[in-house]
Amino acid sequence: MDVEDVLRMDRWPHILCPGCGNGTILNVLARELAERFENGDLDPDKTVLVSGIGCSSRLPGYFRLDSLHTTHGRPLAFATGLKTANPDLEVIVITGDGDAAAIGGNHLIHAARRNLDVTVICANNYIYGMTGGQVSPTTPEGDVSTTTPYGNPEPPFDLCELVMGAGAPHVERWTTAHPVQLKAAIGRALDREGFSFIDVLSQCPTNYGRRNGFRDAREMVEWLRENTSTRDEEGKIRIGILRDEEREPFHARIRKVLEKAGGDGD
Amino acid sequence: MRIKEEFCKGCFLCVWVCPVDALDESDRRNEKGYRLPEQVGRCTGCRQCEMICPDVAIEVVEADEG
Repeated sequence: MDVEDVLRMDRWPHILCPGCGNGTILNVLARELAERFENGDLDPDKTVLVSGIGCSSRLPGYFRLDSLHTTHGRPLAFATGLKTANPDLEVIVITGDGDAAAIGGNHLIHAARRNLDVTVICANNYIYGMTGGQVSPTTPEGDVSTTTPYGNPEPPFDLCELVMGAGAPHVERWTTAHPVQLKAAIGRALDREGFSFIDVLSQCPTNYGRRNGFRDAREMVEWLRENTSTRDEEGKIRIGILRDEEREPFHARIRKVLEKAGGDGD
Repeated sequence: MRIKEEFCKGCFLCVWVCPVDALDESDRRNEKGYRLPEQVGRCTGCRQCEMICPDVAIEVVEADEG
């Protein structure tokens, strides 16, 4: 199966801006899924993409798969119902920093605490790109957005630390400058049972880059490559596998409760 | 290498990611006016351009022998 068999190519070219990091995420996810559908690891009829609102949340609409484009910040709430009611489904949540960490922040930490068996791909581009470049919970301190024209006075969230603190068993961080590693990370996340979170540092050349000294997408991915490291290095953002453990997932615990209560678990 | 020109938006991340400088910017433009990349050197088939392309507009194909 080819990548073009997984994507709705009749919708191409897609809506994303030139050089958008979400496009790279779409690309590698489509390739990983195409491989898995081809070799039988995954069934396209049992794979569902769930997203909230934002540029990244447009991605599921470009896949030839069942998808839910939900309300802002609530993809994990919908995914909780989906996975719990039908544990046979492979549920992939595509979200962004604004969707997951601001309006959806509570859903994020509780999905991690419960160990909901989903793969969360968070396109973290430091900004609300779709609505015009407002400050987000991950905008670095001092950076310029349309709502912080004198520089962001707030410290940003480290999303990986946040979900690990809430109990997420499998957490990785990569960037759009590492497409090969990102594809492998998505593969691991699909293999793991339990809450898998991939924080993908990404570029928004249109609404973040041009206000913060980057001339184009190339300068932004260059920054991502130069300022990240798979080792703990002073002044660099740590990327790689940050946690890889196993814990009983939510849907299994709920089945036990149902059995205890006298039902058959369905 | 096959570049689907109608999908390209001229971001040149392919040129940036290529480890052997087999791709470069060209002066040619597609129907929408975006400048296109072109192959200028020998491709080693690492497929990083194929994967980084935000518009899924590059396909690395194996050349026939000879």
